[in-house]
Amino acid sequence: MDVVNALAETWPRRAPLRRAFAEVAQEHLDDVYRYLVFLTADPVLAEDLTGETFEKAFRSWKRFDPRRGSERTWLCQLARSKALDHFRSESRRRRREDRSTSQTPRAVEPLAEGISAELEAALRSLTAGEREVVVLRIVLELDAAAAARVVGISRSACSMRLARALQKLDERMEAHVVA
Amino acid sequence: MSSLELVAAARLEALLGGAIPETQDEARLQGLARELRTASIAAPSSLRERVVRIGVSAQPRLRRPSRRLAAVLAAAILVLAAATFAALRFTTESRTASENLSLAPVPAPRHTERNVPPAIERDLSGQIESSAQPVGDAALGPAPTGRAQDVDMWIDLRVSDADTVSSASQDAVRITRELGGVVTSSTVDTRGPQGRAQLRLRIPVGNLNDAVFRLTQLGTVTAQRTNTQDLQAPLDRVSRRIAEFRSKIRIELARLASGQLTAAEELAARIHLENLRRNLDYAKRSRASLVSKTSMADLTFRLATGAPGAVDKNESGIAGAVDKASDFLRGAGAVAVFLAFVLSPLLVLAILVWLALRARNRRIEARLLDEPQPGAPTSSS
Repeated sequence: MDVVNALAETWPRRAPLRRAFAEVAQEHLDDVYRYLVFLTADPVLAEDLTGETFEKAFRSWKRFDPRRGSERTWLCQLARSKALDHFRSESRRRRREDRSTSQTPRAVEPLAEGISAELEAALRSLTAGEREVVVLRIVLELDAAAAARVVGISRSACSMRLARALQKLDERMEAHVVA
Repeated sequence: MSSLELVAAARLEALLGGAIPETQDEARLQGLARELRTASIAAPSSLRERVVRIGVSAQPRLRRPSRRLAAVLAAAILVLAAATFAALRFTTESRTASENLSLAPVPAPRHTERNVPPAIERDLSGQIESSAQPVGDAALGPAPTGRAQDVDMWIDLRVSDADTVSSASQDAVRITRELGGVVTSSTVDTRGPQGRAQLRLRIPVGNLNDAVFRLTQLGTVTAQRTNTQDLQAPLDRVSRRIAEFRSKIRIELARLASGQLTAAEELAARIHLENLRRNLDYAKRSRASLVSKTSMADLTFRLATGAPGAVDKNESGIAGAVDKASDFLRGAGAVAVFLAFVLSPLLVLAILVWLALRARNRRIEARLLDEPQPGAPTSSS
């Protein structure tokens, strides 16, 4: 009987039933938007990328395998891919443009409500990669394994990156207070 | 206020999980996390409507095969075609080898004389049946059709070792002599475990089938060939000329015996008679040569060593099925090895290219994410 139980434990289980896409989208829309706001530090851009992410998710919904990760992890991976595509195209566009042209930055919109100006300024001073682990681990409260899967690095590397990001965040906040 | 010290990864995990802070730094870290969690970020209503509409407005569309799928399919078809080609080629080569000089032995009964057409086999048996007649003017190349034929045969046998090559050669000589034949030449070469021999035999056509049967018992037949040439027409022609010469000789002898010829006529008749006798002798020699050709068959008997422990192949039944299955598995194995040899460098190259591209993408991603606002839009004034 023990052998049967052991076999049952190791036997590949059937994929859990999947929910409707609309339901999943409603549930995780805010999370994906938050993730992209932190990653891009631009709420307007994050809105566009969130829409594109869900369009891509809808097209790929049949390929989603719940055994390989949660819906939120999958959506964050798609969002990251969209954001990186955007970063690449922006990088290429900036290289093409005449560097002598004077440029004015767009009006900065606040990242989030409910956080201090010092924290917002400190967040903006972090790199996108650092903000990414902060939002995944602290704002979205993903566990280390899921966050590492989204970022594509090991768990220890993810934890180390988070520790450095928090240390840097604290330093920048302190510097802002002193100033 | 000093800056936050770098917290160990394990401790950081514990603090994020709600552990009680033990130092001031840990308490500050928890406070920072708490403030971040209180951040209120909600998707705008316009975005929410847009996402809700995605599922509703999106019409089910026909999926075009992606480029990646097309590339995979094309590669699979190419590999399949190459494997099929190799398998077919291997099978063809195997079949040719087994029919000619394959190490795989073939049973040696008389009905397996593969290269002998049925008509020729009938001729040979006919010659043997009629060979009891004496060889002379009336018994020239006795075939069932009554036609004289010159027969050349080649038989290749495979034996297990060099000792058997020697003993089988001696047996072949003995059989040839017992059946009234002669050995015109013999070459026996045994070096170490390998050996081969070639004997050229001349055997009376009447005993040819018996000789073939007994010789093929000495080993495993791997190849057999027979050539026949019809000599009945030239033999008939020579026989007619002999008859004509004899008739003319009798006429000339009668003229000379009559005593009515003048001296000049008698001289001319004697000269003519002498020419007729010479031509008759020449025709007789030609006929004897033809008779010799048709009465004795040339048989080239070759022996060679083969794989030790080789077993006879049964073409039917379970053993035949097992043989076919093993042949198929051998072919499949050869194809697999061939593909492994050909494709493994390509596979390694593809993996290296994939790893290089992956590392490059990682570097690009890392560079992009190292910027505070990598995708921040800019506008020109």
